[in-house]
Amino acid sequence: MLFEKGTGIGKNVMNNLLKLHFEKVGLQTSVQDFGRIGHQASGVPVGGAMDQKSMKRANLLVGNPLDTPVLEITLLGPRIRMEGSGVIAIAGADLSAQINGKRLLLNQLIKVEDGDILKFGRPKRGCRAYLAVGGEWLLPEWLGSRSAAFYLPDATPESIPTKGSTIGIRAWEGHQLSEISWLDGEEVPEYSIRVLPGPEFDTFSRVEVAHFFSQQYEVSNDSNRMGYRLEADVKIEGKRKELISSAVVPGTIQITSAGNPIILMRDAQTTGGYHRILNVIEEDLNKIAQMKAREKLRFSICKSSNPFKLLT
Amino acid sequence: MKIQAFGESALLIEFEQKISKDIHQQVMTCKEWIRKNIQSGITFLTPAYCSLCLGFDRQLWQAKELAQYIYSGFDQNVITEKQVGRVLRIPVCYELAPDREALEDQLGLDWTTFVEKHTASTYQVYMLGFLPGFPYMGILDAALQCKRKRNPRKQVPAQSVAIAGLQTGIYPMDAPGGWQLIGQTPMPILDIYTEQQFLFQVGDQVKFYSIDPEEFDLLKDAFRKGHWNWEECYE
Repeated sequence: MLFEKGTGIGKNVMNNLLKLHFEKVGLQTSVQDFGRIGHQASGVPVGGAMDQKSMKRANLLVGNPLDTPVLEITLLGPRIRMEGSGVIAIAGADLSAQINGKRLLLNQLIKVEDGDILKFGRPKRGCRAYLAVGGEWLLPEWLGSRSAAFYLPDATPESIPTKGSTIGIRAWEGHQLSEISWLDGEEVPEYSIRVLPGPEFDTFSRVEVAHFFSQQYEVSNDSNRMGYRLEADVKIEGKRKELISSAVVPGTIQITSAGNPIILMRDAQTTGGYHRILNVIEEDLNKIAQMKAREKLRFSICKSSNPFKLLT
Repeated sequence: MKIQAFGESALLIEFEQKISKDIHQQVMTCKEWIRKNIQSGITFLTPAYCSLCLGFDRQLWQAKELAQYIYSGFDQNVITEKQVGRVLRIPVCYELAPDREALEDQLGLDWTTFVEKHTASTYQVYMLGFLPGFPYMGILDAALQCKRKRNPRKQVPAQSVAIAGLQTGIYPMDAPGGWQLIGQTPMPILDIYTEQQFLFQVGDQVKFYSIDPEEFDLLKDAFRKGHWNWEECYE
């Protein structure tokens, strides 16, 4: 286990403008918050930070309300030049963050000054890092959220940084640091993901269910903010009745017609037509967000939650 | 009606699993009933053809409590809201139809007949999904029933009108897609710069009418410049 020290602050509000200049954007860097909840009836994905636990922790460190936007940084990070000063913190994946070439620790409050260069190196652990900046993010909202809508870039143009773009923050500087110690997850040979039965769980045979839970799955390269595709030796390809499309939620596990599972993630569409075998519990969805292609996982059914079925 | 837990903070309410106006009326009545009778802690409601997904605050409600409350208070046989949805008239240029020839072959229809049949029905918006603002409309004339494309297109242009199975829909934005493309509307069906943003709501009634490429260009221009009275599309 990695035992890291973090810091919390009592904040000393000093409004000044901190600008993040993107000299490089990295693999996939976007602004995320808790997403847009309540627009599913219009077909709008919920969106939001993939690992919400790390997003909250990063915000806590810099003294922000926990729903303040953060920068979600995927595997290969951006290079950001700071104009102005403020405080930042990084939580989640260890993507070898550095300020002016000096290595940064995760879960620490860090002061940045005008001209500082924040960049990232080799991904060491996890998949997504969260950069919080103390203050108010000056970005337009769409449907109550600043989360990047990749499917409609015009709706949130400033939430999807591009080379040469800038994000402004009315920043504050913190002092009076108090210590927080957190246990961060570590790379494991195999993740264990807890699930609940989904709406079509009963349409799978006992043998199929037994296969599903006995085998190990590998995260496919074709995995992203919309969904994680999984591969395994035994496919669940029994002939099934076609379904009439119905709602899905982040965490729903569908079995495709080819018999492979897909775990729907935050940017997943709001409706689907595949059989919904299971739902990942919300806490473990954050864990999946830190998994990279080719990593391995197994599922375990959550017994304590007492799922129920009522019929009339 | 069957209610089951769907993950930790949602319920799935399922009605008879078939596509029909009557069943959808039950879905919409249930949605209204929940809105009126459960005042707090509902985070979202996603209606579909014959199901309704209800998100709830699990700090406030337990799935079982909510389910029992709905079972005991809501009667699916009493359709209180005879909702006659809005009626929208949507112009379509059927000459901008990339899949015309394939469909003429597959269905054994000439294009004039195809257009007559597609414009003859009034469709109901059963669900929005797949993309923000994408309306799933039905029920298509059985003579127009076709399969999805075997190889989905990487990029379907925004405002393409499409069909698949017994459904018809419109792409709100450029996106990959596997439906057969039968025309294009000059109307933006998702416009983030207007207050309403989404042209369609679940429950709307939709009628298509045919326009030629010249009218298409004129209307497209009018929409772009904002010289269009939106009221004109409501009957």
